[in-house]
Amino acid sequence: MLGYLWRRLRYLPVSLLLVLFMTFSVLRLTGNPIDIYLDMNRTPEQVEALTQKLHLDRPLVVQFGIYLRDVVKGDFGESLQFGVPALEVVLDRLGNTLQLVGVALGLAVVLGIAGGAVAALRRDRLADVVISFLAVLGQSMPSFWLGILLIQFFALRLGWLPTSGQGGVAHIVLPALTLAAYLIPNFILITRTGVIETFNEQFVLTARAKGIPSVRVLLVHVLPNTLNPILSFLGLQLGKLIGGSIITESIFAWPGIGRLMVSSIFQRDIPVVIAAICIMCIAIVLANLLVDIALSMLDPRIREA
Amino acid sequence: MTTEQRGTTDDRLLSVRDLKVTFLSRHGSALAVKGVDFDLARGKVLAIVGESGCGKSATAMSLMHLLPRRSARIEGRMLLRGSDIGALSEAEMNDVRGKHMAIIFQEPMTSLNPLLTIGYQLGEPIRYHLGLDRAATQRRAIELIDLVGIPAAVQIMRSYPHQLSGGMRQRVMIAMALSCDPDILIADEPTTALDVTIQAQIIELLRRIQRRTGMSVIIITHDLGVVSEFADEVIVMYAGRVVESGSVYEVLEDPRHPYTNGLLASIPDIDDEGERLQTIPGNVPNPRTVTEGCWFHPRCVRKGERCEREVPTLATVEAASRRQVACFHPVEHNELRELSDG
Amino acid sequence: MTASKAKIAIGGTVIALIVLAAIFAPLVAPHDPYQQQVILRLKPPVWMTGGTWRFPLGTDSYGRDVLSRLIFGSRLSILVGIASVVLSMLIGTTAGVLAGYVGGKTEEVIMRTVDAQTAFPDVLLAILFVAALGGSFLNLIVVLGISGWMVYARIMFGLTRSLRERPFVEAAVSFGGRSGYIMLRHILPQLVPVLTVVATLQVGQMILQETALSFLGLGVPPPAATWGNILAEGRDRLFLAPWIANSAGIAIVTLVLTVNILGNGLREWLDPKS
Repeated sequence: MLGYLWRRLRYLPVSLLLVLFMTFSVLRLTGNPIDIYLDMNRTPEQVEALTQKLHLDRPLVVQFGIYLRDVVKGDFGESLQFGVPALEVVLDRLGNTLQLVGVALGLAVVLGIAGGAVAALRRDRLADVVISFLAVLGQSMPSFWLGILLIQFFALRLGWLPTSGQGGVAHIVLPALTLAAYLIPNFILITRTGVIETFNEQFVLTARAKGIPSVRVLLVHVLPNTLNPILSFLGLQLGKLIGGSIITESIFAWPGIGRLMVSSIFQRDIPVVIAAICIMCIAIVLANLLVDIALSMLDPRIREA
Repeated sequence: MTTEQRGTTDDRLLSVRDLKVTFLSRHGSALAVKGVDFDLARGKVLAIVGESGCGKSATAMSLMHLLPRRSARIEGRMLLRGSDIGALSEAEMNDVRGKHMAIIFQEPMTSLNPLLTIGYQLGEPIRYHLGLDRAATQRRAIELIDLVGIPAAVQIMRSYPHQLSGGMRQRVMIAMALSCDPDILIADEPTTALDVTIQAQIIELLRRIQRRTGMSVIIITHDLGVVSEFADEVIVMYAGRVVESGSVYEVLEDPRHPYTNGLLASIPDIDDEGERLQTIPGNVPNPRTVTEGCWFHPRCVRKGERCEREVPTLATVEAASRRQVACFHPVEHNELRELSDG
Repeated sequence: MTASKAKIAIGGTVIALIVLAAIFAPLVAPHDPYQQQVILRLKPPVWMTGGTWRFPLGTDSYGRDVLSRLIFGSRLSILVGIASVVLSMLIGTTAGVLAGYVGGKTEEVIMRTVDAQTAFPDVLLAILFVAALGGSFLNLIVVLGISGWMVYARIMFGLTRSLRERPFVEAAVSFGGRSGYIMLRHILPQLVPVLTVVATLQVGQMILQETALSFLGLGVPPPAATWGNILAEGRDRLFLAPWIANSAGIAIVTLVLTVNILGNGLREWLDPKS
C-alpha cells in the first residue's frame, strides 16, 4: 500500500514543476513581461519596481529559480485589485469552489452510476435507449448552454431557484447540476458498459448461484467491480471538472476561484491569475492522489502491486 | 455400481423431462438442448458426458436458472422432489439455489469476486440461507475450509482470491457449494482448468465428501476417467440429445452407441503400446445448422440409409436394465471396439 | 455495419451542409452580421408574436440579425476546430510515435509530460495564454492545439509500441532501414484509420472548447460573430430575449452532435469489433 502510494506520489512534484515551468514560459518568454503585468499608463517608477521584483535584469535561469523560490514560499506577489497578497485572495475563494465541486461530484456519482446501472439492467429496452441517448446528447452539449437553459426553466419560468449568486441550498442546485453535467454522460456510459461486462463475469454467476437476492448481487458483486474504470476516468477528468467550474462560476456568479480568475484577467491582475492557476493544479494533483487511494482501498490487487 | 441399486420412484430426487434450451441471438435462434430426460436418485452420482458444444453445460446451467434470461429460453419440466422448479421466478429460485442445489464451475480462477475476502464470499450463502449470526457464520466457514482440506483456515478467510492457486480456489468453490448442505451438487467440468495432479485431488475430495454427506451429484465432464472413478450413472450427450444412458459399468464396458464407442476408443490405453489412437472424425455440429436424420450420421462409421432420413429416439435396448440408446444400428453386444477402426 | 454507415451518412450530410453554409456565408446569410439597426433591436424569432420572416431567428440587442451572425459564426468555429485539431495531431502523433519507437529516456520524458499536462486543465492553459497575450483567432488555435496533443500522443504511443514488435517492422529494422524512414513508411500508414477517428471526435471537442472560451470572453473578442460570443451576449438578455442564447446553443449542439455521430460511425465502420 505504502509502496504503491509512493510510486504515485513521485510524479506529484514533476506535475507541479511542469505547471510552474509553463506559467513561467508564457509570462516571461512570449513577449515583454512588463507589457503583461503593467498597462499603457505605467510610470517609469512602476517599471523599475517590477524589474526589481521579477529580477528581469538577471539571466532567465536565475529568474526561474527565483520564481520557483517565491512560489514555494507562497509569494505570488500582491493583487493589483485588492492590494493584499494574491495567494490570500485566492485562498479566500477556495472554500466556495470546493463546495461547488464537491456537491457536483456527489451528484455526478449518484446520477451517473444509477443511470448507467438502470440502462444496463434494462438493456435495449426503452429506459436504456432514453438514458443512452441523453448521455450522448449530454456529451455534445456545451455545459454553459445547459446552465443557461436551467436558468431559463427553473429560475425564470418556474421561479423555483435563484438565477445566480451564493446563499442557501437553493443557490447551489443549478450550478452543481451544470458542473455535474461534465461528468454524468461519461459516468453513465462507463457504468453501463461496466455493468454489462461484469454481469458476464464468472464470479457474478457464482454469486447468483448462491441464491442471494438480485439487489445484493448488483450492489455487492457487480457495481464495486465497475468502480475501477469510473474512478480512473474521474482522475483523468479532474482537470476538465476544474475547467468546468470556471465556466459554471462565471454563469452563475458563484464567488469561487474560477470567477475570480476570469475577472482578474480583465483587470490584468496577473499575480492573482497565476496564484489561482497554481492552487487549482495543486488541488487536481491532490485529488488525483485521493482517487488513487480510493482505488487501492477498493481493489486488493492494486494495494499489493 | 450394479443395476440392483436402481431407484424406485420414491428416491427420485430430481426428474428432468423434455428439457429444451434455445439460445436466442440477433443471428437467429439455436436449439442447444433438444429434449433431454433424466432422473437423479438420492445419494447417486450422475455423469453427463460429451464433447464441448454438445449441450451438457447448458443442461446444468438451465437446472440452476443461471442462463441469461434475455438470450436463453428454457422449456420442459424439472421436478425437484416432485415440484417443478422450471416455473419458479428469480426470487423463488433464490431459495433453491445455494440451499438445495449448488454448483461449481469449470474456471476457478475467475469464479470468485476479486474484491472480497474468501471469508466474506464463503459466509454469504450461510447468512442468507441459514440465518446464522456473524460468529456462527465464521465458525461454519472455517469448518468448511477444513472440510475441503485447506490448511490455515483462519488465514484463508482473510485472503483475497488472487492470493490463492487455482486448486485452492476450486476447493473454496466446493466449500461454498457445500455451505448449506445441498441435496444436489452440480459440478460443471470442475477439473478441466486445473493441473493434472490437482485434478485427481479435487475428484478425490468430491468423492470423499459425497460419500460422507450422501448428497446427489451431477458431474459434467468429457473425461471418461473421472466418470469411471466417480459416477454411478452416466448419460452421453451429442448435439443436444441424450444418445445413450445407463449405469457406468454398462456404458463404459459395453457401449452401444457408435458415438460412445468412439469416445472410449479415443482414450489412450497404456497397456496397448503401439496401437494408434483413434479419433472421431469431424466436429460437433453447429446447433444453428440443420442436419437431416440422426445428428451423428455425418461422423458415424455405422450409418445406414435410414440414419440420413430419420432421427432415432432413445429406446431401451435390454429389458433387464434401464439402458437406453438412440441408434438404428447400435454396436452389437460385446462387439469389439476395433470395429469402428476404419 | 448498416448502423455505422447510417451514422456516417447522417453526420456527413449535416456537416457538409453546415460547412457549405459557412463557406458561402455572404450568399446564404440574409443580412450583414455586423449591421446594427437600433430601431429593430430585440425582434423575436418568426414563430413568436411580433416576429417576421425578415429576421427568422430574431435580432440581438444591437438590432443585428441572429441567423446571419450564426452563419458567419460557424466559419470561426469550424476553422478553429479543424486547425487546432491539425496542430495537436501533428504534435501528439510526432511525440507518440517517437516515444513508442525510440523508447527509453525519450519515452519517459514524453509520456511523463503527457501525464503531467493531462492533469492541467486546458481552460487554465487558455486563461494563462489569454492573460499574457490577449484573445485572438491565432492564439485560440495555438492554445487549443497545445492543450489537445496528449490524446494523440497516448494512442499513438500504444499503437506504435505494439506495431514495433510486429514482423514487418522488425523485418525493416533488420534490413537496416533508417528509423525516420521506418516510422514514416511502415508505422504511420498503419495509424491513419485510428487517427481519422480520434481527430474527427476531437474536432467536436475543440469546437466546444472554442465556444466555451469565447463565452468566457477569452476567445476572439466581440463584436466578432462567434457562437460563444453570441451565447455570452444572449446570457445578458436571457429574460428579455432568450432566443439569442438558445439559437446559438442549438447551433453548437447540432454541429458537435453530428461531428460525434460521424466520428462514432467511422470508428464502428473501421473497427467492427468495438
